[in-house]
Amino acid sequence: MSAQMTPVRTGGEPHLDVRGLSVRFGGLSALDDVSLQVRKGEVVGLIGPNGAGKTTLFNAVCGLVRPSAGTITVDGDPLPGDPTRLSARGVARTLQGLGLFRGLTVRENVLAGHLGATDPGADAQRQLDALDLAAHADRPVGDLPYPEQKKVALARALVAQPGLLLLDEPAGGLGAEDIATLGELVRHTAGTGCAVLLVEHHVDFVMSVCDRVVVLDFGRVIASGTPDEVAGDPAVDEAYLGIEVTTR
Amino acid sequence: MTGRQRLPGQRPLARTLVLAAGWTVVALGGTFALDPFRNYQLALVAAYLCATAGLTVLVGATGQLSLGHAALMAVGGYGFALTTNALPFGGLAAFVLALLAGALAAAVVGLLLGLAAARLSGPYLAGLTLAVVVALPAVASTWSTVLHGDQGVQIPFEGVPDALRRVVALEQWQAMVAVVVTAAVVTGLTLLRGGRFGLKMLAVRDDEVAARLSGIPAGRVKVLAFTASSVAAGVGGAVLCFVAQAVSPGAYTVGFSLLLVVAVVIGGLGSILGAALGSVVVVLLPWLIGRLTASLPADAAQRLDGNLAVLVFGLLLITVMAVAPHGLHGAIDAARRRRRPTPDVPPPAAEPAPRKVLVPTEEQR
Ligand SMILES: Nc1ncnc2c1ncn2[C@@H]1O[C@H](COP(=O)(O)OP(=O)(O)OP(=O)(O)O)[C@@H](O)[C@H]1O
Ligand SMILES: [Mg+2]
Repeated sequence: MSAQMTPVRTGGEPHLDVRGLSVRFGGLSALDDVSLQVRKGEVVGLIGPNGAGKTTLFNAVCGLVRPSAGTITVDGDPLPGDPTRLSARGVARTLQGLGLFRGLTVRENVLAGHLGATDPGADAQRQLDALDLAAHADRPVGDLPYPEQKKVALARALVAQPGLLLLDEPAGGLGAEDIATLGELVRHTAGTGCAVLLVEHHVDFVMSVCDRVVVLDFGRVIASGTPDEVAGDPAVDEAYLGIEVTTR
Repeated sequence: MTGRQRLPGQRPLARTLVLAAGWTVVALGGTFALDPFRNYQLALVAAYLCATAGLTVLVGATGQLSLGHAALMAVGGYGFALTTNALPFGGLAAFVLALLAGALAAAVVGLLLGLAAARLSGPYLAGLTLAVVVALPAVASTWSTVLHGDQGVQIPFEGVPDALRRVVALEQWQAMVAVVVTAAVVTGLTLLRGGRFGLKMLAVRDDEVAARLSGIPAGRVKVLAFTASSVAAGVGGAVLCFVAQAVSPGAYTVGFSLLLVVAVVIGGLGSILGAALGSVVVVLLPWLIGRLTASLPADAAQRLDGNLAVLVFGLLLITVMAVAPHGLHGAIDAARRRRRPTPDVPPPAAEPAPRKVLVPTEEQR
């Protein structure tokens, strides 16, 4: 073997590598033999109808549910299976909805995502500036309009500069303008070499932001490929029960 | 770890210490203005404040409710009494050692309770902690060779130190000691709540899953918070034992345990100043009621005795909840804000219902 093992920014080895993942809740098979990969700098969309198992896949990656089969590695190493040690491994996640600490200020919410750092205060300030949140930094997070609160959730995930970012419905509840801004932010984050896996129901957003799309239905991967490939797949239309999926 | 510097928004350590020293000096000076009985009441308030301050931080910052803080006070009291009796010497050294032993005993019991508590929530945790208070008399009589059952443990009388005997009376001395110890406990709790750990407690209270995903070990934070709160209560029990020169299960009833919760709620959940106000109410109200019933005919007084206190506390609790849901401290804050209005804050945004369908593209619409 030659010594040319320089780290790759895009392409090459997958950063997140999920193989043969199955999760069962009693008799319910929430995930069944799911495999997917996300490379550094890549944005992968995970879509599928309600109850398809998208959040469950995130939960399995984060160690919140125990898989019955399969392996999950980040950067070649298995994850600790303990949610509290994820951030140390460079994994950050936003929760479906908000998942904010409602009794804390905007700044404290971001700080709380970064308490292990040497200088959390400075990093939090940088992140608040980057997302235009600095003006509201010391207000209770619940006082902000919903789109701003969604941004705080993003800021909390981004403050530790993760290598893998999991976003669960980041565009949920946002208007067109905020969704466009979010799209730019996601692309920008991927541009810094972060691997992004996102769950979203908003087709325009998924199709414009993602490099690849994986479609789940009843816990199984029913399609995957570029946005265009997936959009033309009849199985995908069927999974969404008559709602046609088209791209421009 | 090198990341020990202050987080933005936190009060500087020096300010907390100066504030604590200021309050302590005021309280110590106050003892000179009070008669012996008032000083005795001040000592009680100080002892109760240890427990209520610990309780208010626990409930307010972590959302864990303990109905058993009286039992933890008792543990501290027994630890203090047994250590005092075991030591071959007296004086300041014995007092400090006994105090530490009381705190340690409460820490151990609190740790065990906290470990169980971290797995329980809401009514189950409340039930478990209540059970501990209920079990206290049985524990005292089961190990009666050491704990002396209902009679409890007495400690030898130790009056005012010689150097001060001419200047201060016994009650004043006890009040001064209680004030100093309580100041240390309250300062410790303030620092705990104001620092990184405080942020962790609040995060765990607000969203445990989000906290864990942020790298905050939710279980450990809850256990530590419960233990710290137990230590505060234990020190309160030790102070009470120092003042009463005895500890017995009869002083730590279920009623008293609930009264601590009432004090915290009346004062305002999460507020240490509120805990202090609540402790004053808890000490003064039964005494006021006693004065009231004393002026009634003997048979009426006998029938009212005890029951009236419960009734008044119930009514007070309901009134405070209705008029000032954030307790006395909340009411004071609100009054202060009315005098000095702050700029309008827009009402919090409601969380829209999650979208549950695949949103069609523009062309489809
Ligand atoms: N902790 C759990 N215990 C039992 N069943 C669960 C649990 N979590 C999820 N499920 C079930 O697993 C299935 C997949 O749920 P999941 O939340 O992953 O769906 P989803 O794709 O994220 O849906 P949505 O788009 O509505 O968020 C559902 O049937 C759900 O009811
Ligand atoms: Mg979901």
